[in-house]
Amino acid sequence: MIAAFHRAAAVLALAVLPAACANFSALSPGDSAQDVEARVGAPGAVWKNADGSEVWEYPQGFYAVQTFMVAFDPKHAVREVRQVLNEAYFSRIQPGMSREDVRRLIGKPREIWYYPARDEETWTWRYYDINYKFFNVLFDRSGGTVRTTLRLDEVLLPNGDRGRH
Amino acid sequence: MNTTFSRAVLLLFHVLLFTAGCASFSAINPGASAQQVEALVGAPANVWKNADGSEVWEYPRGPLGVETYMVSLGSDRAVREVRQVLSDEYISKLHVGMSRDEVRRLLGRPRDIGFSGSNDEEIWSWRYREWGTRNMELYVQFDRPTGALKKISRFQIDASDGKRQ
Repeated sequence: MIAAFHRAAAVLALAVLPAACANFSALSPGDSAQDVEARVGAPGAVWKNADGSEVWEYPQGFYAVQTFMVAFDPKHAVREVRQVLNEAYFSRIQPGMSREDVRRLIGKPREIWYYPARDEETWTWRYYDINYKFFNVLFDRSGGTVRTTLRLDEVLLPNGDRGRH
Repeated sequence: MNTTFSRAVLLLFHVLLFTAGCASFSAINPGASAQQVEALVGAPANVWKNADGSEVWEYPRGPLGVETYMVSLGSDRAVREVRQVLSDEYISKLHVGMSRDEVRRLLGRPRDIGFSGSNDEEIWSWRYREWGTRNMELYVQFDRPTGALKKISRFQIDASDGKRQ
């Protein structure tokens, strides 16, 4: 009886696990848009290019440290899947880039703060690189262009709180 | 002759700049008068008056500096103590629910005041130095409708963005 219950619990756990963490590594080049939707759900945003190719953006949530971009060729077959919250993509952000350039490169930020006194808008992403960190892009608010970037290390507070939730 | 003179002027200029740049709070001793304080470190950015006639004079060194001094004067207008409040000792006194006024009295004027684009928050930030070396950022988020402190975050500024100091 108890063994049966445990078996049921194990089956349930297996069913819940893939739903909780959509498996982007299961996507392969050549997969169709339908395959992608079936495996990882609908994207948070879709970027369409002039040649008919598309990029589907999958932010993993406020606390997450990954955002996936699924690139499709003009025939709607997967070309590549990339996890963009890392230094390889952050380092491409240059002063003068627009909000859309940044959004297309690393996806939707978790938070947007603005500072009227400096006419500045700060976009923040959480990521993991040895420690949990925050990548910030500082925009000239009225100009809408990147001023600079800032990386901050999350610091564990004495009361057990993390730096920023 | 001419070069010697200009070199002397330059040297004098640097000495003046240096002494003006770091007003010496360590030179203020308990018992010093309000006049002596003004002579040594200039006028405060803000004065907090207490009911008993005592006062606290606030000297933020920001936005470029990483220190804020609070000079307490007794009702006899003599110095009681001088505190540098942008330190772990004072920052750790912050807690959820505090008002803006309480925070201002504890840590002095923020370096910057920002706003959240989405959840009606006001964000005060300071820069400070931990253990004399680590460059830190402190963010205090207030709920705007109630004016109560919601969240405290501390970050270490990553050396890879050291240029933005």
